[in-house]
Amino acid sequence: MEFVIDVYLIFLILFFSIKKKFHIIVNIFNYFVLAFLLSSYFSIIGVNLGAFKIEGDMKLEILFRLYELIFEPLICIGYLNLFCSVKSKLKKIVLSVFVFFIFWAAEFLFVQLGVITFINWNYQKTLISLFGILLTTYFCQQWFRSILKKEGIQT
Amino acid sequence: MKLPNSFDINEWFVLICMFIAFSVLHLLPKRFPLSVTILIMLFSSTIARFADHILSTPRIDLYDIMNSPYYDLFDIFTYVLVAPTGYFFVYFYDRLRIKGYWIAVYIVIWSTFGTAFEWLSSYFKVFIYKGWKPTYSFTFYLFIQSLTLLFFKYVTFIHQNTPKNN
Repeated sequence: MEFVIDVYLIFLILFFSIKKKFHIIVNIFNYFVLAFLLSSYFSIIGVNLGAFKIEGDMKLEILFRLYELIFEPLICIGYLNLFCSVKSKLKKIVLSVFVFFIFWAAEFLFVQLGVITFINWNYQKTLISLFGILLTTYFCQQWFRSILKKEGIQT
Repeated sequence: MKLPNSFDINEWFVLICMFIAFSVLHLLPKRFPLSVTILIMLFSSTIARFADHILSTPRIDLYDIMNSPYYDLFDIFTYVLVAPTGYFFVYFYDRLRIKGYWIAVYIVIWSTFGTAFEWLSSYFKVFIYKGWKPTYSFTFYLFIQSLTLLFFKYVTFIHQNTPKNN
């Protein structure tokens, strides 16, 4: 458990120390969109579809809640910033593979810790869903950036 | 996304409130840049979503929204309804130029209004309490509305201090 907290803290330090491609207002917008979409996604697959169950130690569940509401959106924001700042296609592909590996590893860790139990779900479905969420966020972000551009803010 | 099992009084309540809220929003003179308005509304909806996601999950289960423990279309409509409410809160704060200890008075008044509105919503079965009490909502609103004002101040500060092209 301490290991997960350490990873969270290192990630937070890393996230806030990296220079972002987008304006802070765009990143705040992205965070709220992602937090809304991700929490809805977890409710739909966990409660509506019953595709996975959250159980086990309450402390571990808190770690999982922190992941779904704070860290997963921040990973996505970091990814969107980096994805739009790198130029070469190869780097974009390597970055995407790396980020999706992080998503897989995080979920694998929560399954191993006994926080999540898959009932009618698997890692591929998670990755496809996350791809959809990232794509939706990207389009929302582009729309929001166009509004900021009209207001004279360079994003 | 699930649709409601039956179209009852709670669905009507949400739709009528949404209609009223968005009509008022449309009629009010524009006060903030569109991007700030979007952020305030998105902030309010996401905070409501966070609270419901944590407090009404199966293991904690303090209340249900609408008719069932499931996440359905009208749950999303309740978040859509929260968005203009957050905007009105910030709008009148800015419009009335509230300062000093009047900020505390303003937050207490809005928290009371929020709690009363939530009680009315529970009367129309929008919320079905299982362990939650309206007094908890009051405490929650005191905290969240303070946070909303801080967020509004921060976003407007950033917006005003960013160099503009035109």
